[in-house]
This record gives sequence, C-alpha cells and structure tokens, in this order.
Amino acid sequence: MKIFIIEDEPAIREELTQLLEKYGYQCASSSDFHHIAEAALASGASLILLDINLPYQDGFQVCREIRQKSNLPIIVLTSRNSDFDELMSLNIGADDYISKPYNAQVLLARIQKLLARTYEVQDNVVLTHKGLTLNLLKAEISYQGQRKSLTKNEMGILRLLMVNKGNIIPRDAIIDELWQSEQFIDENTLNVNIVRLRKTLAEIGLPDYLKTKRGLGYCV
Amino acid sequence: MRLSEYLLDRIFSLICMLVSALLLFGLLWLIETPATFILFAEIIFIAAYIVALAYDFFRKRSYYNLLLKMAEQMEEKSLLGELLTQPHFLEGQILVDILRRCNKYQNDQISNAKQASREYREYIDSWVHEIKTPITSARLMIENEKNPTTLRIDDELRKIDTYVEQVLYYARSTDVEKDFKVEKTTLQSLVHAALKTYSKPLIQAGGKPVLNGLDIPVVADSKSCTFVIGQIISNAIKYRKDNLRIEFSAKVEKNDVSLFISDNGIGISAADLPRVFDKGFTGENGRRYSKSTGIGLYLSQKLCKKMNIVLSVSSEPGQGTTVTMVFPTESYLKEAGL
Repeated sequence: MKIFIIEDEPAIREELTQLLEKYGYQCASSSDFHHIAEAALASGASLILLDINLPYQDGFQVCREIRQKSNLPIIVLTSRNSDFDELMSLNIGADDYISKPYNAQVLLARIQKLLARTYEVQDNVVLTHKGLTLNLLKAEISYQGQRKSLTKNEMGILRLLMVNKGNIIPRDAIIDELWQSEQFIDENTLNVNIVRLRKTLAEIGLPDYLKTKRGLGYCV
Repeated sequence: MRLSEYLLDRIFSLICMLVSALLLFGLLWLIETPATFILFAEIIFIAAYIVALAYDFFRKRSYYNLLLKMAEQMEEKSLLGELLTQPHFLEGQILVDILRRCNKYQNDQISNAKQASREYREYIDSWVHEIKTPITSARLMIENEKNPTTLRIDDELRKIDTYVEQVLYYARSTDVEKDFKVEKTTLQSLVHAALKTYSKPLIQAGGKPVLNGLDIPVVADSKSCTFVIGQIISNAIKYRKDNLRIEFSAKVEKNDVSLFISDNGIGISAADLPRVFDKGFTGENGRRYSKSTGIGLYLSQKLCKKMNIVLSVSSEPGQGTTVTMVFPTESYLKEAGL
C-alpha cells in the first residue's frame, strides 16, 4: 500500500515517511506544490495525507482538484483545528480529518480503517524482528513455522516493542499505549500481560525474546 | 433642576437686585416722590427681573432635564454627544461642544482598543497554529525513536501542548461572536477524549479512572467540553494524595444531564471554595503547589457559561473534590429557544 504525503514542512514529511514505513507502508511525497495534485494522482498511491496550509494553493484547493479526477481516500492533517476547517474539509470530499499534534497510533488506526473500508481486501501488515513475525491484522505471531494468537493487549505490547527494535520502553509508555483502547489498565494488568506474553513466546521457542531492564522498562 | 437649586445658584444676582431695589427706594424717597409712584417703580423693576429669571429657568430646565433623561436611558453613553440637539443658550452650546469633543475622543480610543485587542487575538490564534507544527514534528520524531529519554521529552511536549491549548481557549473565550459547534455526543466519549490527553501524567501518578454509566447522550461542543474536563482531571492530578482515583458518574433528569467528576485528593478549604472560579485565584492549595496559575477553572467556568453548562464545585478538605457539570438536554434548549 502506497501513501502519498502532501505536507510542506520537510521535518514532518520525513518523520511521517519513517513512521509509515515502519508499519509496512510505502510512502511518496513531492515538494513541487505547483503541481502537487497531479503528482499525487500520478504516484499510484492508495491514500493521500493532506495538509491544509500549503504554499501556492491551500489544501482545500488541492483536495478539490484531486476529487475532480479520482476517489482516492484523503485524510486531512492540519494545525488549523477550527470547526470551519473540519467542515470545509469534509464538505469538499476528504474522508477524514485529524488535527495536529496528532497521536501517531490514532493516525495509523485511521489510515488502516480507511484503507480497509476502501479496498476491502488488504495486504497483511507484518512486523519482523529477530526472526519473529507479528501479523497486526490477525494478531498472530509466528516463529520458525509455529503460530500463536495474541490478545489485544499482548499484541499492543509486542507491537510497541518490535517497532522500536532494541530500544528500552518504560512501563508507563507501554500502559499509555494500551490506554488507547477503551480500557484503563494499571500496573498489575501490565504485569499479567507481560507474563502471559512471555509464556506464549516461550511456547514457540523464544523464551528470552522479551527482556526486562530493571528500573527502566522492557525491550526486545 | 429644581427651582430652589436654581435660585441658590443665582444668589449673587438676587442680592444685587434686592440691594438696587432698596437703593432705588431710598433715592426716590429722598427726592420726596409720592409713595404710590415708589411702589409702581419698585413693582416694574422687580417684575422685569422675575420675568427674566423665570424665562431663563424654564428654558434651561427643559433642556437639562432632557439631557439627564437621555444620559440615564442610553446604553452606549459615549454616543450622548452625537444625539444632543443644539441648545439656544450660550452655556449649553459650550457644554455640548465640549461633550461632543470628549465623546469623539472616547469613541476613537474605544475603537482603537477594540481593534488592538482583536488583532492581538488573531495573532495569538495564528501563533497557536504555527507552534503546533514544530510540536507535531518533534512528537513524530519521538514516535520514530522511542527510548526512555525521548519519551521523557515527549511528556514535556505534551505539557507544552496542553498549555498551548489553554492559550487558544483563553483567546477564544474573550471572543464575543465565537459560536460553538454543538453536536450529538456521549458523556463517555467526552470523558475518554479528556482522559487520553492526560493519560501519561495520570499513569505516572498511579491514578485509576473509574467510569460509571456514562453512556448518556448529550448535545455539546465536544472540543470545548473535552478541554474543560481535561482541566478538571489535571487539577485532580495536581492536588492528589496517595492512590489517586478519579470517578466519573452521571445523573439524568428531566431537563438536564449531570456529570460528576470526583477525586480523592486534598480537597479545597471552605474559605477558598467560593473563589475557585476567580481569575488568578490560587488559594491555600495554590500556595503549597507552585504550579497553580488560577487560570484553569476560571477559563472552564467562562467557557461553560457560554455553552449554557452549569459548572460547580463541592469539596471536603482532606477527603476530595467533586466537580459537577450540568448539561441542558436538547429538548430543553429548544424550548428555551437557544
């Protein structure tokens, strides 16, 4: 799946590309804002992320131009979080609207949802680290031909650790990540989930995959 | 203008008149004018004076009474000068001239001040949007490189973001024509959104949110309500004791829906309680905790008033605080024509 990023701030463009590539998407962008709509359409992307404040013409104009030729899903990302902008974006055919500073997980979730809705069948999004593969759609891990399914929380923990390969993630950050769901888990629930996850990993032959860094957090 | 006041004001001229009447009487008496003639002369003299005085009194009274009435009834008192009719006597003309000049100066000053404050507000608005871009890119960088250090920076960035939001709402709260986008939502989703904003500090404080029966529909401006609930959560975190617990519950009545946000924190003393919504008021707790600014609740109250939400606080010092938000129901708002 290819995502085209229309954003004039190079730092954000670059970081978004990195983030999305980590989660298995391909990214494209352009800094030629005169012909940005054509570039987006020509890139063969499956989804467009669109900023509103752009040089030469604003994002609404670009959105309209794209809509004249195509029904590609468009998510508007903007710092102008007024109601007017939100209504305007949705009225001229954008599919979703997120205001800055957005939560990366929320952005990813919306991209995933929109892609799933538009294309019905979706490529499996998989993360691989040290031989272990995590399938994010099926919530399944596999290692040397063995498969095990995970609960939502277990997958959340493993995903966070695998995306940040080798980095230590503190406990509060893991809890925060899991809070994105509707439940508010606490320290004890996290302990339980870590233990269960370790057990599942051991069952498929990776007993020391998840490491505890005393006083700091966890890493894989 | 009363007659007695008017006469008191003319006391010097009255005395002069009496003295000259006496002198006239003396003079005429000395040259042995018959008493009848003296009487006639005095009557003519005094009558002429009284007629002149009465004419002046009635003319001025009618004008100044009109002026007073207008000054009382007008709402925009600074426009008084514009509406006055030109009087037919000199003092009044001078007064009106001065009044007009003063009013013009005042009105110019007022419109300059309004212009300046509008420009400032617009600047703040655009500043807030500009600052969001670097915050976003910094947070994305952290998202791509999570480790204990960057995650601590992320905590600080979130704090910056909540302060920036506060600035935005402060600027908006002074905007008279800012209308809210009222939409159907549930208490549940408002509380969830607010909890997400403060998830990290809540987790670090070991806090546990408890949500009881919040699946109740309300019509409200979700962004502003989320902001207000967020301010209350942030206060609960700031003024906590051990084992922070925040409980959200609701009550449905005929015309309104109440949201109760209770914490088990240090509470607010009875002396401070009536003033918690005052701007800049930090009270006893504020002096103990240096981070109080006295803006959060003030701003929340201001926003709630604009949204027809009743915000109130009750507290038991040492036991905890309960903040209540009363949302009017849609049907009630319709009946009230709002």
